[in-house]
Amino acid sequence: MDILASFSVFGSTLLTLLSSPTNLIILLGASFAGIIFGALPGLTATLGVALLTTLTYGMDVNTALIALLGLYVGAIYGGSYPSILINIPGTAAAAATALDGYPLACKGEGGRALGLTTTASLIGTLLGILVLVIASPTVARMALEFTSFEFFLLALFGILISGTITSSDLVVKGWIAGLIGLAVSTIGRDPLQFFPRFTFDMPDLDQGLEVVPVLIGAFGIPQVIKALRNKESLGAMQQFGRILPEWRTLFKNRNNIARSSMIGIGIGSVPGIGEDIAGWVSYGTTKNTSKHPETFGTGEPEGIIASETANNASIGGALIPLLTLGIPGSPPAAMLLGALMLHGITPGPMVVVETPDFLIEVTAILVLCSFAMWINGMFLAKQVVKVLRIPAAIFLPVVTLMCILGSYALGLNIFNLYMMMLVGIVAYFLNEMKYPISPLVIGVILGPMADENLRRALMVSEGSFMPFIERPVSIFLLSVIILIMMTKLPKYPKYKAALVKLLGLNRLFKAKGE
Amino acid sequence: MQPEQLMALRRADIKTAVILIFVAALMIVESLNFPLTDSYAGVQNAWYVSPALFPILIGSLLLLCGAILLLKAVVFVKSNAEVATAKETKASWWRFALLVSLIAGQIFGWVPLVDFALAAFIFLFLFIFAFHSDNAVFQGRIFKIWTATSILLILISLFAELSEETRFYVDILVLVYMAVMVWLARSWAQKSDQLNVWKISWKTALVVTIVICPLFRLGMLVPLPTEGIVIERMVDMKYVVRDYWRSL
Repeated sequence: MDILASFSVFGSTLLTLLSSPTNLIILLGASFAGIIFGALPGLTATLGVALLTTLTYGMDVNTALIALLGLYVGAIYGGSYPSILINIPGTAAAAATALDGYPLACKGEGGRALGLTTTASLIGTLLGILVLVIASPTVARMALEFTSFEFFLLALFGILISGTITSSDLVVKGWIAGLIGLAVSTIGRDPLQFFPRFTFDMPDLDQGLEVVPVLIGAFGIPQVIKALRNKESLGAMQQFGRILPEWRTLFKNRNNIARSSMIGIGIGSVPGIGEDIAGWVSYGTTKNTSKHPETFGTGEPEGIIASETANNASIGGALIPLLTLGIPGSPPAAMLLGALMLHGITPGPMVVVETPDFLIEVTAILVLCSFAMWINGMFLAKQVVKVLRIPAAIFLPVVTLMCILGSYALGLNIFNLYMMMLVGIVAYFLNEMKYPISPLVIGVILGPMADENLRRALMVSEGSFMPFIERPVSIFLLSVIILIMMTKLPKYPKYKAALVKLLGLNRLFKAKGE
Repeated sequence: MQPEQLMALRRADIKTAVILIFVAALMIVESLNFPLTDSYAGVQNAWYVSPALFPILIGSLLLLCGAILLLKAVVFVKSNAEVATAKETKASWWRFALLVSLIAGQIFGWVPLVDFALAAFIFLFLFIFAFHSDNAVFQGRIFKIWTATSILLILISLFAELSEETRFYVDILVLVYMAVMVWLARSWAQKSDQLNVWKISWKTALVVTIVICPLFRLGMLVPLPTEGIVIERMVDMKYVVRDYWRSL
């Protein structure tokens, strides 16, 4: 499709969506709900998307996408409210924002901090969308050349890297979480021969586990139990005045915004890791490259802009592998994948062939969602703050009831509730023992893809593993996987030093300060 | 993380690793029963297309990772034997037990048997009252009453075939139960000067139930898990209003 045709589709989609009052109400409502989900500590963007999926069941695809993406964008931004006003991040993505946002609010500049956050989030999201629309067709065209060998390795790569990066304790725990997800995905009839695996003669398990109840269980129930068991409560809230966009400060930070966006998009596009890591990496990079790093942590606007631009830019990044490869870039994107499949869309390389306008439509919807987030942020901040005053002991029981209804409504099956409860309890204990939940969820989603492609690949090669080391993309992916695993070996620094010495690269590494 | 907490984590890791190794071994053993090279549904299998291949692979990797975790945890515990182990307080475990009882009771006992609106109200009321009051005595009482009632409902679901009429009487009994619970909670709250918490609890439970049930059942046309004395009347009322509207 040429550029003019793309613009035409983009414009007509925007006009169609904007001409429907229902869509506009849903857009603003979903964005506002997203901000509240992000703002309330204990609730996450993933859980918000999971619960909203149920409500979009009867909608057409575009309206459903408006609601889901509106909530996603709003929730990533909404986490900054409690970060700035109470020093408690609403979502992990906004944790870095608290470092400078809260001190700024303590100085009586809470309104300024929120204004910077809101506009930086808008810019970040728009830049992410720009890269999404430019990169996606190329990635999808490349992916059309992939065979089962590459798809298997890609799935493995996603789970492995997600496990490696998201684990806050031992790396092996991240891998175990991913493997548990893969093991769970094998329940049900196998995709090639329909042989029942681990169904224990239970007809409810024949189709495998439904993704949405598993996700609601994995993200919702542990949050409720954790917050109420540990009596997590909010601190005293800082007051704030008028919220202004602060264009001048943002213009001064243009390099910071460009760099943070690229970090966000890059990290977002890596399967399984997303907004939370992007915020921290961007904050760290900005601090390291700043002329006055000592001011960071005392209310430095640069820090707020870096973290918020990056976490929102990673939304566009996370959607690149989701839409082109069918591999979610972040946990909320994983939930979005489930929602898209529910609406009859299977993201992957074939999406550009089967529905060539889909990517442009998603882009148009994302642009609308970004502006809805900005409008809500600028004009309804005071209302969001009112919601923040509701005690956890009141809103979390309501969330639990929504989890129950959400899990039931998708298949009208009580068995889904039993699964949600079981997964929820297991996920709670795993969480308590510092196992990351994202790789588990990615494993559940990518499991069937990995299983099917491994066996298809071996069928083609008649049981030979040689094509894995004969195809260029396979070699690349395999090398990255091996490298990731090697870096976690206890003797890796020793081996690295020996290799550097052997290759005579000492000077180069010394110059880089390594 | 404090050294005591890290020690507690590593001790927990030992237990998890053992469970993981056991489950992974079971997974491999069970997978070996799947068709490996024999025929299934008229198709002669080769090992590389067998449905057992992927589970065996995953099971083996889980076994390996479990063994690594076990090794790391045992080495840590042995080399830091002098460090004490942090423990969760008894009160924290009680709150956990109450939370699990509330959610599991609702899912396994109330939702499959009782009209959803009634189940939602009583669940929300007791849940909010227990945690918003932050009173260990109330929490203990609610735990005992809710767990006993839920177990009773689970037993009824498992062993009794209920007719429409019997379900109607179950809903009536639940209505009485609800009234008793709300009244009981009020008397507890009055004694400990927490009447405000009681008011917030029943009002929130009522408002949320009134909003959520029609939203799902009438707005999104999602049939609720159990429709009885309240939901059926609500649906009937919808048709009465619709017919009246049409007649105008």
